Amino acid sequence: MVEARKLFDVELKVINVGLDIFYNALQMQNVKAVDVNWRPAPKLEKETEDILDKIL
Amino acid sequence: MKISDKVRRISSGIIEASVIMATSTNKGILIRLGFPPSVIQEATESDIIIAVRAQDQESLDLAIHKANEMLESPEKISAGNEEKSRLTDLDSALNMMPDANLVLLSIPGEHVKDISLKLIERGIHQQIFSDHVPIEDELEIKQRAVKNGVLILGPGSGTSIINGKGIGFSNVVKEGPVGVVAAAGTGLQEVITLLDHCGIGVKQGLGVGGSDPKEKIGGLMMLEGIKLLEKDPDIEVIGIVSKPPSASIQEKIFNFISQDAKKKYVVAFIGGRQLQDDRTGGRIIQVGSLASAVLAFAKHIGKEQFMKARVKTRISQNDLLNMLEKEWTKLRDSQKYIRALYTGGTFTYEAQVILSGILPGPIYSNAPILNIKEMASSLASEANSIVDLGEEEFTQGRPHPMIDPTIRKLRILEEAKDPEVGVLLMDFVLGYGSHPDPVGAALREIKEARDEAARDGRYLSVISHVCGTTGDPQGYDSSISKLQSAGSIVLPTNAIAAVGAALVGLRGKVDLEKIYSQYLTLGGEL
Repeated sequence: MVEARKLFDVELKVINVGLDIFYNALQMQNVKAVDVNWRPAPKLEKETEDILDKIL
Repeated sequence: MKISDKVRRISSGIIEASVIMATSTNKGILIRLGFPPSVIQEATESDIIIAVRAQDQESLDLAIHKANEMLESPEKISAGNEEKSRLTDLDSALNMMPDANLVLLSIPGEHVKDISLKLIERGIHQQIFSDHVPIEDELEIKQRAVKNGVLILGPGSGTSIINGKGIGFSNVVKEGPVGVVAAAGTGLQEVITLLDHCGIGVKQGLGVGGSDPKEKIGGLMMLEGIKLLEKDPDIEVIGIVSKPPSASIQEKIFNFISQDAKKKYVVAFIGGRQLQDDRTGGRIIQVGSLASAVLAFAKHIGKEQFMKARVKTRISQNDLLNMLEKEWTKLRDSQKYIRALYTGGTFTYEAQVILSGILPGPIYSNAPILNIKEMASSLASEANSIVDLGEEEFTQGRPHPMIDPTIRKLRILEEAKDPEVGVLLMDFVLGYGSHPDPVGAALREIKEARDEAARDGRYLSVISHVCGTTGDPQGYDSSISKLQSAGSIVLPTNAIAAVGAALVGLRGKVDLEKIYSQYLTLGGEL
């Protein structure tokens, strides 16, 4: 088990996943942050999924 | 959403712009925004609708041209100095920032568990803004997190302060000796902003999400948060802000803070009772409203701060009566109803708690608490209605009303048409994450609503509360001035604003003594 990272009394380093307004807010406060424009993995049609299951 | 926002900002001549998929929900919203149903209904689900209302033909043409341009060349959405490259997956972000200690998630709820569990394995703390995370997923995430010593704020957590920095919707507050664990987003914002007005700073504000204190989750993160704040040497007073948890969770919390904790506590279960626990020598103060919580914090911190808090969070009964008498004397006898249009969920809750103890007739809400009736439709108010515009039915396919005020603007105009309405009650939440000018965005509608009433020979009373600080980017003082210039009464807390609305609605016939002692003061300082 990995030990939990320190959060209080250390520099905040944030990964923002989703709404970019929250990333902008972090930037305005000079918080170190990385922004992820997250998108869900595309859902395959059931038929395509069945075919891929047979091939792979 | 991004294109709509960009188009709205192109010119001041553009009143409203929506560039959205033609889903049935979106089509319904556009029709309610006043766009012609016959044209809107022609669009099919695979169409994109560009709907623009402008002051002149030139602005209209410009908006449509720019919207088309952005749809054809998406790279133009980020044109100008906002250009930045965004990563598209979490793994790349973890490689780029291998020592990240917090991940802020605002993704569809069904995807949260997989990502969250993966982050817990790496020991990374999280704030989850996402709604609609199944309760079973939340339980699994939090149980795993507790085992690994990881803090999970949320799901449904929009606001936190960590090491003095705001995460999500948050206000610019001074750093200081207060730490708060909250299961109420705008409740946390109300407390930290009012504390800021009293000169009391906040170092940590942990939003654990509304489901945490429910029986199923067992207050797991509320307790973890309290334990963390107990260990933080800079924190002197710890606050717990929430709707009242179930009896067993309350017992768990009180057992811990009375037996195992050492610091001073303010327990604010909104609508709960007021009590100073003598068994702990006054170390624990229990209150029933957000405003009383601020007085309790100040009492713990020092005499000077307490005196300041009494001035900043209160208004005397006489002053309130004098101020509002000028409002109710202008109303017709038939104007008896209050319509509260809230963007903050906790404000909706607190207003229901307070108004249910004052108003004699039925009260309706789309997020009803005990003794409040559920609205038949969230889109149509009846009698006294307290509407949470941040509820799911208003946010499907649209940003939260704290980000996009369009839904409320529309609703202000609708309520003004009802000749039985005497009072509009509203919150305006400033800070990071919120709309760049929530007050300015609604001013035209407030003025129009009052003009519409005046044309019908009626007066419309508007009572507002601005939740924010002088450090917030939108400007606290200017927001208040703008509301006052539009004829709104602005009151210092949400609780007082709710009481004020009741006073106007009932023409001053309110037992203020009782309400003040229950929600607006602290026992022993009356």
